[in-house]
Amino acid sequence: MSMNVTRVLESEKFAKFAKGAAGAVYVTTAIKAIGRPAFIYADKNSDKETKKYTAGKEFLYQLLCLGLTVGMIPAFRYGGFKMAEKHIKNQPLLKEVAKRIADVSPLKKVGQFEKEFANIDKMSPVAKQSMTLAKGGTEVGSFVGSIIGLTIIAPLISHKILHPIMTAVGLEKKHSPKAATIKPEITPEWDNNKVDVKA
Amino acid sequence: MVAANLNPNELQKVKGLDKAFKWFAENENSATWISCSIAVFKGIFRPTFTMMDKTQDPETKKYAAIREGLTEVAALPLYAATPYLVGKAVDKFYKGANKKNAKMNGKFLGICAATLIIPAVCNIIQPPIMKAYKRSQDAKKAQMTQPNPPVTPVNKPLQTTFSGRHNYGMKVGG
Repeated sequence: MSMNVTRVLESEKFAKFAKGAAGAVYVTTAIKAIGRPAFIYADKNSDKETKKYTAGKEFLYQLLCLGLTVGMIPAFRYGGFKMAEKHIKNQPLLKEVAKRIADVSPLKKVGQFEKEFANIDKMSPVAKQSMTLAKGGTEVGSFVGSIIGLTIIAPLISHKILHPIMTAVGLEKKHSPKAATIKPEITPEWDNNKVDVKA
Repeated sequence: MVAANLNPNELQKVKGLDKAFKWFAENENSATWISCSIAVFKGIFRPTFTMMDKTQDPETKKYAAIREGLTEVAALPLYAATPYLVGKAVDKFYKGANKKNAKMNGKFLGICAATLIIPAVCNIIQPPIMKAYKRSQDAKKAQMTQPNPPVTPVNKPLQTTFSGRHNYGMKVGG
């Protein structure tokens, strides 16, 4: 068991994945999509209906976040790469690298750059610096894309998307336009069993 | 305008946006930084968007916004502290040859563990805080809806600015 843990800790591939911002966002969002609904459903202080509703809503919200990040982060990484591409294009030592990246379609440029970046230890310090700056561009793109997707777009569109889905699967009753003016007799939100723990 | 070629014989001076690129590329705590940043921005934007939702009851919105803010208040220190502690543990206990990878991977796994711990911490800290908030709101409502106290007659001596004489008619002039 300890051998397996050591193997994971020392893994070069895992380290490359763990170093990037995008990897952390994908994995933590996937963990939230599974772990949080499970946690909510395991709560013994709540009634079944409340748990079902809250866990279902949480699962759908995290799925939405996962979809947004998977869609947005590659686009922002490409944007970040384009901002930093000059460091490769204008570096005489990286002419061949720049040509190989230019030869692929825009969708594959960042992937091609990552393949070239894997050989960075064989490069001279000057070429290494240029490649590092270009890598930084992709990381900035991942960072900005994650923040915009998860903290602005997801909360904004979740109300529009989740309520119809929750209604369709029977977890929620059809939303009436007069709901805002009618104060509920029972305020289930005050019941702390419906804890909404999206972080 | 054609961009000038970089000098292949010397390292370029890094300035402006390139400094940010350099920092992001060389930063070995990206997972921690992105998780903490997301927690901070979520703590600001989610309650704001919740309060802007016109389809919800104002009391429900306020409650949900406070709960969302509390969630991120719990998340931020966990995302910051867990990878730091894992890094320290790797420094102390790992005796292998690849300490750099072990530390980076360990910190990433720490972030994953923090993601699972946060709901448990929220379940502990949120109920008492929300109960206290509910109590204060109920007390405010009770005060506002309290009827006016009945008027009780007070035995006060009559204040007179005039003498004991009755006023038998209009007094003209002074």
